[in-house]
Amino acid sequence: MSATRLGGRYVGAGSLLHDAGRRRRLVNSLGFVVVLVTTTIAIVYPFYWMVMASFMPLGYSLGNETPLILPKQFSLDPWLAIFRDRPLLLWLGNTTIINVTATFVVIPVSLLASYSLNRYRFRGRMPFIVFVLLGQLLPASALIVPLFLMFRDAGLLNTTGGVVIAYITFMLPTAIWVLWGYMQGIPLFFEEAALVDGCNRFQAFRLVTLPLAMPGLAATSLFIFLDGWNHYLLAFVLAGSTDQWVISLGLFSFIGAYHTEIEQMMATSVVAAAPALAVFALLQRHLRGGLALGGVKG
Amino acid sequence: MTTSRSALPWLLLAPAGLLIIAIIYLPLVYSTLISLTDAHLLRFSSAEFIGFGNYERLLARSRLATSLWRTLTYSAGVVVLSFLTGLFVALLMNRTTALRGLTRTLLIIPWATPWLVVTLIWYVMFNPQIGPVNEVLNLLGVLDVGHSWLYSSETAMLSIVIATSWRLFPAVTLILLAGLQGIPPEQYEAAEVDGASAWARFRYITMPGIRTVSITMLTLLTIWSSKLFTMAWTLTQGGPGDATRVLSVYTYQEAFGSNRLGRGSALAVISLLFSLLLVVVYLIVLRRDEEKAEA
Repeated sequence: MSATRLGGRYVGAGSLLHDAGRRRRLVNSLGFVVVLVTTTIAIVYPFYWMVMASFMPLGYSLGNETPLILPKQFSLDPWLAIFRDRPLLLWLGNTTIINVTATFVVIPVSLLASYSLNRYRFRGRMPFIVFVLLGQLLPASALIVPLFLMFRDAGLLNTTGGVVIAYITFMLPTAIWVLWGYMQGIPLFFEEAALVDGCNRFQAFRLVTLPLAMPGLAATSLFIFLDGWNHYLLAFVLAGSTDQWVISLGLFSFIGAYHTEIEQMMATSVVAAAPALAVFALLQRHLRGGLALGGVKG
Repeated sequence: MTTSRSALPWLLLAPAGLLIIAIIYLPLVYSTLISLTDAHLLRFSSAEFIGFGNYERLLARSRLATSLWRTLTYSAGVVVLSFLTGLFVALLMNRTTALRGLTRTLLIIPWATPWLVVTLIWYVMFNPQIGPVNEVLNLLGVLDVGHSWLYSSETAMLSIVIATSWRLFPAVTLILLAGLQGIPPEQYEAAEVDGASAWARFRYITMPGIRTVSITMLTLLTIWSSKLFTMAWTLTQGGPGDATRVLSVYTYQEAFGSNRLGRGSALAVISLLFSLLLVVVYLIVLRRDEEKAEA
């Protein structure tokens, strides 16, 4: 992206008057670029600092002046330390297992529901939509007490299964919501044409609608899978022992009463953020519609 | 679209409906029942029905009112800061095509960062000893001594509002940018020919153009920020004192900190009603806005 492209829109104007206007607009545009660049740097800076701090020698931040751009020394020690001192791979494994399992339950169930809501008009359709929407509005803090008690009675406390069930709770309404949006984009007449051609309803669904819904399904799966990374309170209350921890809980093990291991904590944070960032970078193009709205959910 | 009297649509909805009932609505009913007892975590089996005792006790104390106020302050702060920042960046990006792709990619960084990592980043940012925030303010000459952002009751709320908004505003930007790009450029060109000022163009073309997406976005921001737990809990534990004790934190503290499950459940019911109230208020605003737009 070079500065010459800025004026690109205005090239082709010939007169002197236009030239003056063009120069004024170019200066104006350059001003905007400067403001935009400054703003972007300010936005990304906290993230940059995290990555930078993960390459500082252990304890560097406590003994030295706070580095703002680059530290005087670099080291891979924080990275070695986190894999050596903490069961980081176990936590990552737990996180992945829980999220994948929950996603595999949620996706087919929400696909059927969103298909029904899109293809049929029936009594009780609107109430069902409200019923799902209300489910999405519930704060996790409002459900955590009954979930804790029910899980305790059912012996699900401190088990992976229990956490999976709790995650499903919070993924399902969101998934129905996002998928519903995608399904609305699939024209009904494809399916009707298949019916005319002699398919039955199920065949029409399997052979026509499902392939068309595939990109939406993939995006929704990835999205709710990553959303699972955010469910802190659920895991915090329901998974007690360290070998059942998900990565979000492990992150806090670096904050001690007297001393916080900043460098290790920042390295673990990079590890925890990496999968989400990678997937979001891949999904960038789809991020405008319903997925974007879902993506800010706490 | 098919109008159906058959059972098929309901059969398709059944798995989702049953799951939602079993893992959202049943616990909710259970929670409401517990809120009418004096249930305690350590002697749960001997819990007794006490009617609205928990609610009465909560309402009699100023803690609940303070907590509701903190929730409103936090929510309003996050909505205002993330919306204005989001709008500002969207306008910048809409104004110049240069760097738009790169900026869009970079913007996704805060937004794709998991909440927990966001809290840790800001925990370090605001740290009085090593935090870059103090360091930068020092360099700019704004602040001389290390300020304890998270542990001072004046700035704790501001700090968690900033941290939360950092995570949320990119969504506002991307949604508003899509809205801005949907406004036909001819409208601006015509306005410019007619001699409309920059403010007039913003007021009469840009603002109506992004009105609907803005209202949606403001609604969602309000709902999300009013129920957030992670930030206020992990950064400040509701403190110092009660400076950041929002409803979700208060609920957690009563239920699991003090083990008073009954009172915690009553708080959960109250926070649910509070969320519903916010939604209703927004729906009313939305309807009034539509009527105004039509008039």
